[in-house]
Amino acid sequence: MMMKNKMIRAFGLSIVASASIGIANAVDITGNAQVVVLSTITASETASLSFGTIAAFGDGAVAGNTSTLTMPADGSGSSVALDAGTVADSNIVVIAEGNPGSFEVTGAAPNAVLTVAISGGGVDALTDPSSATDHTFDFTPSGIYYTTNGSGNTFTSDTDATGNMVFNVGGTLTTNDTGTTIAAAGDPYDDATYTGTYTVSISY
Amino acid sequence: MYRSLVCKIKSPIAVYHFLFLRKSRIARLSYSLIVLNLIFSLAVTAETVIEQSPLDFGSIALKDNNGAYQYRLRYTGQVINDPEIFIVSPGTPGDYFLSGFPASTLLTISITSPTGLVESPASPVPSNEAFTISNFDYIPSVTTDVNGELTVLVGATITTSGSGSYDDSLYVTTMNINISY
Repeated sequence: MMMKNKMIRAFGLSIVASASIGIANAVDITGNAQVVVLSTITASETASLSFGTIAAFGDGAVAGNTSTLTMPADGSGSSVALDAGTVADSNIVVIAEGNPGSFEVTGAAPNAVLTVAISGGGVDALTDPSSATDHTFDFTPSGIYYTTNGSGNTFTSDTDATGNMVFNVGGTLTTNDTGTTIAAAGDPYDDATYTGTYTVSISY
Repeated sequence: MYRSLVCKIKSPIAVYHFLFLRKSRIARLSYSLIVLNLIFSLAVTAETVIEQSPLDFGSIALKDNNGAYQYRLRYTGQVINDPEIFIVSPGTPGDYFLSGFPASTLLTISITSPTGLVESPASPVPSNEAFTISNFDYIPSVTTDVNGELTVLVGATITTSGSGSYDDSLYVTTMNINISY
């Protein structure tokens, strides 16, 4: 009888031992979390703003006697306007058509509203880097085109579903009426490539 | 995990040694039972947890950091974010595969993180700004299947510091995941 009791107690302890193993099991592991910050917007100029090939004449004698070549951002083609005086004073003749500047945003957030702004240019902004004695042009970037946005120097628009966006930039080019390098009415510009820069800012 | 289990059963073994020091047949029988119990217990508690994918918030762009802006990624994959945070590429919840657990057993899960998300040490110029991580999102009590297996999905909320700037970089942290039953 005593032996049987011991056996029962032994089994009892065995069960208790098993039960103590079975409860309150815990497993601890280390997991990982991460995020990538990519706030910088990547954009590239796919086409430079070009006013084409022109013949130009300036008037350094009378302030305001200028001619202006406008390149629309929407690619509808350039046009020339005589601001004051006569074509004998200042004139621009388009020999070969130019094109608006074009920019492509890639890798931005999909369907995100971006703000695009252009700035820069100004008086004597287009120069001939090869000659300090050449005439200059006043240059103003103006007009951003994106689908239906055809005017203004600042606009907001959505990127597409892949985070891309393409927009164009137009501008105006005006003959100079001041400075030391331009003389009397009808003074021709030297044959050269006149260049300048402007700034495009893109932000969320 | 295995080491922890051994520590727990060490004490009962000592008790049995003390009680059955006389080496009677009954004692030997009981000791054998205990050993069998231990073997059995060890055999059924070979829990394994595999991180199949980390909690990945994807890529984001920050318009501003002039406030504590939040980005919540739920374990379901649902995203809720303040407009100052742009989702460049979507994230995915953390995915943890549990196996070797007792079948059809209720597990209790808790998750904490010792730190926020800080810029990866691999960056040459570490940023001063970090993200806090909170509101871990998961099912806290869930039952294993008949094979003792279970998939646990984990989401959370990250919050910007509200001042300073964030470098374009990877930000990381770790989470302590506790599973008990």
